[in-house]
Amino acid sequence: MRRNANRRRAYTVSHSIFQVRDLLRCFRHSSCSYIDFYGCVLKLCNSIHRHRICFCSDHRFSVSLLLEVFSRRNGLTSRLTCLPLVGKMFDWGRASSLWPVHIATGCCSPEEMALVSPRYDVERFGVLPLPALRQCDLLIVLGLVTHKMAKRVKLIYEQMPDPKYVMAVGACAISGGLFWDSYNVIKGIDRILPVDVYVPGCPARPEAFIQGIRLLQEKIKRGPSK
Amino acid sequence: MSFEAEAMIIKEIEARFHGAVIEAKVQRKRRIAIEAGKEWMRDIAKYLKERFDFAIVVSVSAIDLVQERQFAIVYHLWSPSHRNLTALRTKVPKDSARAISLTPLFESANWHEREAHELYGIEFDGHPDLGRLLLPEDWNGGFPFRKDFKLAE
Amino acid sequence: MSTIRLNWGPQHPITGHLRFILDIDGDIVVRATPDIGYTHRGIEKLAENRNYVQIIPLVERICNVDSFNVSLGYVSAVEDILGIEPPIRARFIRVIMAELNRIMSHLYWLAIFGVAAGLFTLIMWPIADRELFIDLAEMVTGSRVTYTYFTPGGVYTDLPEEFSERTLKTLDYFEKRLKDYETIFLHNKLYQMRTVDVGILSFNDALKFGVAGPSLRGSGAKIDVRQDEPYAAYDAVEFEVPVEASGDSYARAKIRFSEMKQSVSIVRQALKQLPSGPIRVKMPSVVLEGEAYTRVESGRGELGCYLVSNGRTQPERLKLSTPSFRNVSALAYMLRGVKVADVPIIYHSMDIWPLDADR
Repeated sequence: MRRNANRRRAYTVSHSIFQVRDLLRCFRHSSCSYIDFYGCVLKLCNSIHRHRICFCSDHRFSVSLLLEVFSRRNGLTSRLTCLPLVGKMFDWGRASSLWPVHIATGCCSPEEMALVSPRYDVERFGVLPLPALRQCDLLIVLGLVTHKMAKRVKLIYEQMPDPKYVMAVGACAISGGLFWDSYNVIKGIDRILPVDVYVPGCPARPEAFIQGIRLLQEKIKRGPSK
Repeated sequence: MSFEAEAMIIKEIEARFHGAVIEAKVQRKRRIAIEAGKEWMRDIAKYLKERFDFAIVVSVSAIDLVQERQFAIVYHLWSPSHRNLTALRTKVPKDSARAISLTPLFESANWHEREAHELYGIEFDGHPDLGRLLLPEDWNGGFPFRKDFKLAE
Repeated sequence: MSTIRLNWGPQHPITGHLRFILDIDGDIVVRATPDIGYTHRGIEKLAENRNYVQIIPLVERICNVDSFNVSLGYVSAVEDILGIEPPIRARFIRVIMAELNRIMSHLYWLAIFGVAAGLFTLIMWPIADRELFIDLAEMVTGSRVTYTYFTPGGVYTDLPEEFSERTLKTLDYFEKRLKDYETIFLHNKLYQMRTVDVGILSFNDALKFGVAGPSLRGSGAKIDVRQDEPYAAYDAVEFEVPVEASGDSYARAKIRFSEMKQSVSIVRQALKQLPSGPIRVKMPSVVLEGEAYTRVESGRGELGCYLVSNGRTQPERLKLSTPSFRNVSALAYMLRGVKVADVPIIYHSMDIWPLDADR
């Protein structure tokens, strides 16, 4: 992958693994302490600073890898709880920059357009609707989902990288809404996807939508993500 | 209220297709309704198109008449120059629901007939492509717009 | 000849809830197949399970950016069957709200055109201006998009006292904005390069495929339901129906700009002439029996509502002939032989709302 403005040189992801290889040595044979771990993270940050490259995704990957190895070595189930401060930092970052996939499933979709408008301006919460779903972490199901669309929504959900969240917006996404007796409408998106936040309304008002986003942000900051 | 323009159209149709027209009446201003057997539909539609400039098929509706065990197929045609909407209606038996397609005459009837085929199961002879339109690709739940298809309670 | 098959939609900011299967040879589209049905709810079937008043919110959700016009078609059909006419004040209120809704619908179209053309200012400005009109609708009905305001016999509530003054203020501001839009976008060389001579639909083809609305008038056919068979109080106001002959995307865009100007003029005239009086007639306590076909001019084009009733509390058949359904069928023909980069512009100039097409 290409890094920053340097389009000529390609870096491989394995670079990030090699970077931590000698740092992992301290984890190999004995159980290690927090101090050992912090020491490794400091060494990694030092090398980043020395080479003057920004903390981009492959360095996040390096730190995640360290976290993973550390927690497994010490028999900890959640790697985020082992390092509250770093975990909280990641949660704060994730909550403050939720990027939803642009998928319009039903009639609540003009209200998403209204959210982006200067009046409601949801970008001040860090929410930026993006068509490219590999860079998104939030799936907002806007309104009804038919059987035909459900296959595509599931496919989109599976293609999104972890951690990801689902928000069901509108009465139709929550329970089928006004079309509860239709032969082609799924009675609630939680039948096929795990939903984190439900925003009611028909259609949901932008204010309710924003409250839903705030609730999701608090949920992310509160605990480990799926 | 006299509807002279509408009455004139009906008079000419009845004179031209004497015996084929089951019913022709003025419903209200700019609305006339003609009912005929399915084998006459194409000829009457062609005459309406050429003589009175009924250029667009704005709607094709199928109605499930449960007691008569028939489908009524209603074509609504609009004439821009006469500013008149004609409902051209025919009936086909439910057991062998086959009608004659007006798509070769009016391309605007194409998707409307396709929809009626998908939702009611009516075959339109002469239609170029009666493929899936609205329902999911793997739908095998029958014809949802028929009256015997019950919705959830 | 080997072609590449490209799935355009349904997860795409421009197509919205529908898909096109494009067969491409190099940069040229050889074949385009529209794939609709992603939001098919079977509203016409659901209507057979509801009574006549419950159908009003159902019908509105066909096109919720334009729901005044859509629900007007249905309530007019009920009134036709019953043989009743709403009072004169209600008819003027219907014209005012329908035209404000037309402006809202065209502004939404303009914003999505910005997404299609990649002009980001064109997304933000119309969406912000649309909020002013949404405020007016909210003042009257309490709701932002789906209003459930028109009812058989008239309208639900009267206009508030400050509505007239606030509407005139908004229209004064909006007229100045329209001049800005025209200068910055319509007369913009970049915009013209992307839309002039792109997606030409001839007069004969437009009638042949049965397209509706500005897409039809952009090809030279002067067909507008408000003048062909005036409904509500359209016979009491004067307005022009803009028509362009070139049939390209630029013509269709110009028509929508002109229609917004005409809507501003219609609302001003209607507010000036607004008579006092009742807003609703007492409904006769009879069951509906008969059939009616009403046509209204919604933002996207002619909407036809065919209602058949047989003496029960639920209709025998409700058929809605929507403008987007008619326009999408023409796209299979229009997108043949065009460049891939022009496909979003042509698609969007037809102003398709997939929920309208699928019902």
